[in-house]
Amino acid sequence: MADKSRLAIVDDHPLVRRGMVETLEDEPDFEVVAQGVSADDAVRIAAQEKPHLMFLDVNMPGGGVVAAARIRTLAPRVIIAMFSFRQDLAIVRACLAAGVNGYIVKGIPGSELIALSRKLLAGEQWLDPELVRRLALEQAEPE
Amino acid sequence: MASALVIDNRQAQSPQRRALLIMVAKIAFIIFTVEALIMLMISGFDLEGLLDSTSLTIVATPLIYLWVVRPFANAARTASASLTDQLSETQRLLEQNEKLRTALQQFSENTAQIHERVLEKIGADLHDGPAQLLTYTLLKLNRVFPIVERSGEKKSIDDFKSLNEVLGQTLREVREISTGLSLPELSAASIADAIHLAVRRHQEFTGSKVAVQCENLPENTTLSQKICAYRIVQEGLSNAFKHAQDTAPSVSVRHEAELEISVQDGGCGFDPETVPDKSLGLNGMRARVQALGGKFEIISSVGAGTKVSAYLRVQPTPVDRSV
Repeated sequence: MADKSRLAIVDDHPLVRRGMVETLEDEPDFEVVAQGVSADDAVRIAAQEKPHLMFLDVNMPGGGVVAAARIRTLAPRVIIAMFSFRQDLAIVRACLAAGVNGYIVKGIPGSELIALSRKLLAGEQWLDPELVRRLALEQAEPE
Repeated sequence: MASALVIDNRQAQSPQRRALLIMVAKIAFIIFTVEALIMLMISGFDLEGLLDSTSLTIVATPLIYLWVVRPFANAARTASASLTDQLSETQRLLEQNEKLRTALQQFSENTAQIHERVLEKIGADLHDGPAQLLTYTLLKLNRVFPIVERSGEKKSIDDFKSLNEVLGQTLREVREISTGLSLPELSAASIADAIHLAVRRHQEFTGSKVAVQCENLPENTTLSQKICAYRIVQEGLSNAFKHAQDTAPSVSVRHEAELEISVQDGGCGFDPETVPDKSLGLNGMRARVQALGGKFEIISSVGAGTKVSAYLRVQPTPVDRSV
């Protein structure tokens, strides 16, 4: 299995990391090559491990948005997906501005996480549909 | 001349003494004038009579002063001293009242901040505890599903899907509660920012459109006042959305003698007298405003919409926010 996709998960909640690792590693073509708990870990992993896809928490120490922006500069080819509870549009916009490829709201079933990982690895962008709806609403009726 | 100088010096020493001398002179003049007039009416102009009048005046004036004027003057002086004492006491009580009022306001401020910190802690605990556990559970259920699916039992498969949906809904609710409890972003925000944040979040979550009008907002509101304003707008709009069919909700905030925060809707309205004592929404808003020494008002009647208003007093200078 030389063509396994290399994944990395950075989240300061150990249970979430464990759930994601176990879910993703069940797939024969996925390999979780690194885990971390902070923005600094995320940047180090991006530079050293060169994963294909990274999942970043928004609220981790150092900040997920900061981590995404630094990774985008340091390793432009890494696919970045935010994985968070946060649904504030200001945060979502900041993530998009930092150059993330996807924004997934925590609470999805494992099967969906696997399907979204495949989409992102295939080069697609992905944003939670509820966030898309609210962003569109905001565009339609600016304050 | 020497005598005049002595009088002048005494006058200079004491305005009260001067007033007394003038009064004595007036008494003497009145006695003399009255006697002279009586004399003129009875016996015409008579030099001897005039001299008698003068003598009588000289004798009567000190007597009248001692028996009539001086007791009155003393009584007036005593009354004046008493009034001065009362005025000082009133002044002292007013200052004490002001100190008590400031202490009470500070206490309310601190209590409100502690209340917010407790809410924030509950929000953080919900986020770090149940929300993470539910996230893990939802991810892991995926591993069980193929086993259930292989069983071929339709009921088991349906139960599994239903369980998955309920867990997802539970997580969304926990997340919303957690987000609503914590407001760390208000620390550095202005009162206008707090109002607009509450409105924006409401619009984002409900899709409704809210008219906002802010006028002459103060710069020196405390954190508790900003949180209170946020909560009033949040709860008021939530009520308008739930109970007033989201009919033309509007938010108006202005600062004149007090900071007035109002949320209005054009919905079905209600009788404010019928709000149960245990109702958390409106009673919670009232308690929150009263804890900061403010007033809370509900104007509503059946069929005529609802307006809830909070009135907060903004200090002319920022107060110490430490707890």
